[in-house]
Amino acid sequence: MAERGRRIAVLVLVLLLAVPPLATVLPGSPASVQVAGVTLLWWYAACVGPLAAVLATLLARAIR
Amino acid sequence: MTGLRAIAAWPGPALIATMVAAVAAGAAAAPTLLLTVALAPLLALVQPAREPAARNPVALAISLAVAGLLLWAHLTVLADAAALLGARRWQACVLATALALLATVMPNAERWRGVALTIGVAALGVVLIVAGTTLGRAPWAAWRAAAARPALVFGGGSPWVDDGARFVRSTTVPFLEGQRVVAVAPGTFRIVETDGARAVVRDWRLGAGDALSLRPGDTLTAEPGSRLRFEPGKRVPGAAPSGSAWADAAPRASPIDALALVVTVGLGGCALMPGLARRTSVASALALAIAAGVVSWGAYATLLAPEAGLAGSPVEALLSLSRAARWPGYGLSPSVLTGLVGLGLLGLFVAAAAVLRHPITEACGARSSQLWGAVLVGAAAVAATLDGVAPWTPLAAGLGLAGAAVAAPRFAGADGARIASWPASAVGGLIGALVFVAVIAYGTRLPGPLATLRDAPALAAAPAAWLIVKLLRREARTAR
Repeated sequence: MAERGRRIAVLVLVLLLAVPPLATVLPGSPASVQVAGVTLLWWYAACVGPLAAVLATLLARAIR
Repeated sequence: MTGLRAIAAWPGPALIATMVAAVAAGAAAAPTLLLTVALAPLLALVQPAREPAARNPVALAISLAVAGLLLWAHLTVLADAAALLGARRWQACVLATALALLATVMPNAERWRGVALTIGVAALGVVLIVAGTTLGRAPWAAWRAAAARPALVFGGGSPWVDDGARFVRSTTVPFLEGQRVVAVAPGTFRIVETDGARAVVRDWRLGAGDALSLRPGDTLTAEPGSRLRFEPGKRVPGAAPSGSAWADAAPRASPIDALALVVTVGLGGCALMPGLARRTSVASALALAIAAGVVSWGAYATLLAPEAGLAGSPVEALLSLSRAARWPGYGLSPSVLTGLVGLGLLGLFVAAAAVLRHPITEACGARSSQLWGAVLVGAAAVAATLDGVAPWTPLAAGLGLAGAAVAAPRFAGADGARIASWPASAVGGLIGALVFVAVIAYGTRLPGPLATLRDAPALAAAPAAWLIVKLLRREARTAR
């Protein structure tokens, strides 16, 4: 993986990991909003976060 | 090292059981834990390229300590499973240790590591699919059904209301409603009754068949090995009061605790999976499988057995899915599903144990077989005898130490560099390990704002190791 792509991937992964702690302190508790009976925070942790991380890693590999 | 073998150290029994139990219990930190564990292989993938570790006593000591702690955690889960199923703790430890030793002395040991991991993942996958199809619900539908329950109560078919179940370690549970519990085996139980503002502590020595009446607000402490029977239809003590409370606990997590988890688990993952470079497909598959599998298992466990955390061991939530076999129109017996869970945990353990040997081999060479065998046997002895320690304690310590003493110096550019006449990785590792141990030893003296460090010493140790390598390595270059 090229150095630039690797750095971008690291940044994106760290940002993705920072979302749950940040979501708990946001006003209005957006993490508690339910979609199809499941809170946004759980949708993020189980689906959106891992998928976004995989996508970011694959894209970062393509960056030269 | 192939991709499959490179990731074998990560989904060990302790990590999987802890995550499933956290989801099933509705723990506030569960989403952060799940996300960090799932993303750790991808973090390991994008970390800087690593050079072979230099042979030195510091690297060897750190490798031995990390391997010992993680093996202890994994073996504790297997020993807990044995205790819950009515066997002896040492029996599970002996079986797992023998299999792990066998897998390393057999020809093509690396291949067997991949086979063990495949068996482990497949066995657990079968149980998960069986539970889902038997319940006839997708994971999100199971989640919705569990969250809609007005109260989490003991259901029919639970061992806690049928024959009575066993506490694996000392457990204290609060009662939200009155309940009559019956001792199935003789044991001592501590009840704390709240009488207005005053707490009254009573110790009860009960014989088999003796009953205790508890009022709302009382707490009960059960010793390891004691067995109790609860009333069906009553709220599970210690569980979330309702389905909505279970589903909504996560957004109320402490951001500091979440940060501590991310640092401990994320850095630990980077240290344990150094050989993952260019294995994008394997790392991606593992990330998605962990996230989907664990959250699905947790949702089904909550629906089938909301009391799955009562025994004091995270493995109870993993074993609870075998109850799905009681549903009609289904071919497998609960004992077959329980056996599959046991097989899955053993497969994951053998795979993880074999990978933990790799850093020891790098650090000391020829003597690694004897050292690794000694660490494995020592960890088995500890897991078999110290039944009061939950798997998370050695698991967090092992991951934290690996992150602080291995990953942090590497991120600072320690590989191939020197500080004075020492390899920079050894100096960084030593500082990281010393700070880690110091925080554990003197953690009780830390002031209030730094209290989080007691539970996550890597928060202090990793930056210390990183800083030392970054600063001294630069000085060494300037001096030259």
